[in-house]
Amino acid sequence: MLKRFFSKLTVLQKFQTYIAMLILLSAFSLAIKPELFSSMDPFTQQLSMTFSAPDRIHLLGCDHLGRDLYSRLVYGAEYSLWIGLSVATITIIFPVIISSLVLFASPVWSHVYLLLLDIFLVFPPLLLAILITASSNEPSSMQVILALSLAGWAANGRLIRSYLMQIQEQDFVLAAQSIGASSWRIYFRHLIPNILNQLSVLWSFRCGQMILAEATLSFLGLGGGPDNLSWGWLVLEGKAHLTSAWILSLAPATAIALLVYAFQVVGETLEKILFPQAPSQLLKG
Amino acid sequence: MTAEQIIHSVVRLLFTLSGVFFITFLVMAFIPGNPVFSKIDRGLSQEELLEYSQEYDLRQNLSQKLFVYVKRLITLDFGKSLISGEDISRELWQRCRNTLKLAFVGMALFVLLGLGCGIVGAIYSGQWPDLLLRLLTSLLISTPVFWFGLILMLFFAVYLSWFMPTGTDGWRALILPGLTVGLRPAAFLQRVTQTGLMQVFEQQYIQVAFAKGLTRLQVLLRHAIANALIPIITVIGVEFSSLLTGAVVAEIIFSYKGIGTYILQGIEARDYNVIMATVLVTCVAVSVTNFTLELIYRQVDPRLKNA
Repeated sequence: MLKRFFSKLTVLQKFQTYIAMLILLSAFSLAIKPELFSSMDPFTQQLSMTFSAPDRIHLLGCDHLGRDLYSRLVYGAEYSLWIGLSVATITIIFPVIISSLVLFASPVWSHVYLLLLDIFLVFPPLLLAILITASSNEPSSMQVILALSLAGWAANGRLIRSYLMQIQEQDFVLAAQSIGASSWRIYFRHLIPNILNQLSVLWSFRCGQMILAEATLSFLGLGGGPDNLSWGWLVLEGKAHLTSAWILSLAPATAIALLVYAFQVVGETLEKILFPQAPSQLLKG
Repeated sequence: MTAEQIIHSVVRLLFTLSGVFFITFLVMAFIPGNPVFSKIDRGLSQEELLEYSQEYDLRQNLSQKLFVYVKRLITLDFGKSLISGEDISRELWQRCRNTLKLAFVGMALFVLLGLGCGIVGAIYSGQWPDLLLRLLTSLLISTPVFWFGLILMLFFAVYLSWFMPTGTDGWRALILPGLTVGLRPAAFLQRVTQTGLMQVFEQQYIQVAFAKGLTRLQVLLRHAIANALIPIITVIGVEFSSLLTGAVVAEIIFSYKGIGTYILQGIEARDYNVIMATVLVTCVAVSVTNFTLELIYRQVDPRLKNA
């Protein structure tokens, strides 16, 4: 089955997908069992080792307090994944529920919903997230999730609404209505299953984007902090020593980039498989 | 666009902006902390603090505060900064100009690079320029803006020292932040332009154009671009807001005195007036852009003229 799906991809896409799977697999294993991958404690300070270069014991060297950078990265994976995945899930499930309710309710609610979407779409997402997380000096992961969800749901809201409306106009929905199917039945048997493909593509893209958004928040000092070792925070910490030890900010930033890249590629691959469009032949060669 | 449509859009704009206003007001009401704290640090006495809070309406309850803000909003007065005591409008104007300069450089890079590379990718589809661009764009899309900014700063400012690492003055200060802001959106635009063009190239009228003997470039410029413009304009609109986000980050990395750093300053000091002013200005900028894009849509696609 996997082979059949993959046959639609070009060689480059296959290669990228394998790499992406590898990255995701390792990221998830780091998040689930960090102690398997690093024997060093991420918080132990060895002041004799400050700014030490990478060697066999400290794979990526040590930071300004002599803490092992590699193990700090390993233990930080959980936070990035946890925030990214949960925000992506919330920002998809919530608009699906609301758009469905609006679909069944009177048209007045549809206007109210559109107005609400308009308002949230005007807010640049990062700005709203900053405003909300600024409410405490070190926001808990719940606050960060809330902030990013509030900032990100509207973009999905508009898309999901259009998906639902496209399906609703299809003939098979009309057919189901004409044989007397209840609106609940139409909803669960016809509408929802038909947007699941689009939702899974969207989810994959959003996971990457939300991980990026979380990292940006942490980089501004408004997300995860020193306790949960958010990668964005590690970049911020390393930024102060950019000239003397660039690896301190470069390594966590690269980790973020790899993770986001992996989700992006998975999203693109899913899109290619689920919504294949014949590639243009005209311009080739 | 008829007068009726214009009125409709303006009313919608007003509704949206008042929504933004209320959300910001609510969020500010729930932010713990107080601008008074930063005054305490400066060693003011009890009476002075009381006087200070009274002067800046800090002791009012929520509805009174709302009334003050609405009144100010109607008279387009942003009030005074709670920290420095100076009029916000002047500082805001200065910072807006700086950010606009940055956004302009970013936007120019974004549109020129995105469109240009998209066209190149479509013309050489399947050949090495296409593959190279694909690799580059997927790398760019997944890189955090701040990582990119740091790399640029490290390489061009620290290692090569061609530019000052931080600062606001002169056009040289714009280049690195501009690149930071513009390149990631450009990668998105490249993708959309290329796929849009490839889709248009499937149409029969393009085959007719080829059959007439036009070269690829001629077909592209005369027939394909105009028909691929709609998704391109949409992306430009969507990415404008992410460009502003990027601008906030870039401003912070390069210590550039723009709106982004102003917002963060305001939040840190709980300077409510500054927060409100900057948020509103940013949101107005986004809505005006969206509105302009809607007008452009109608120009580009005659089918939408009366929609």
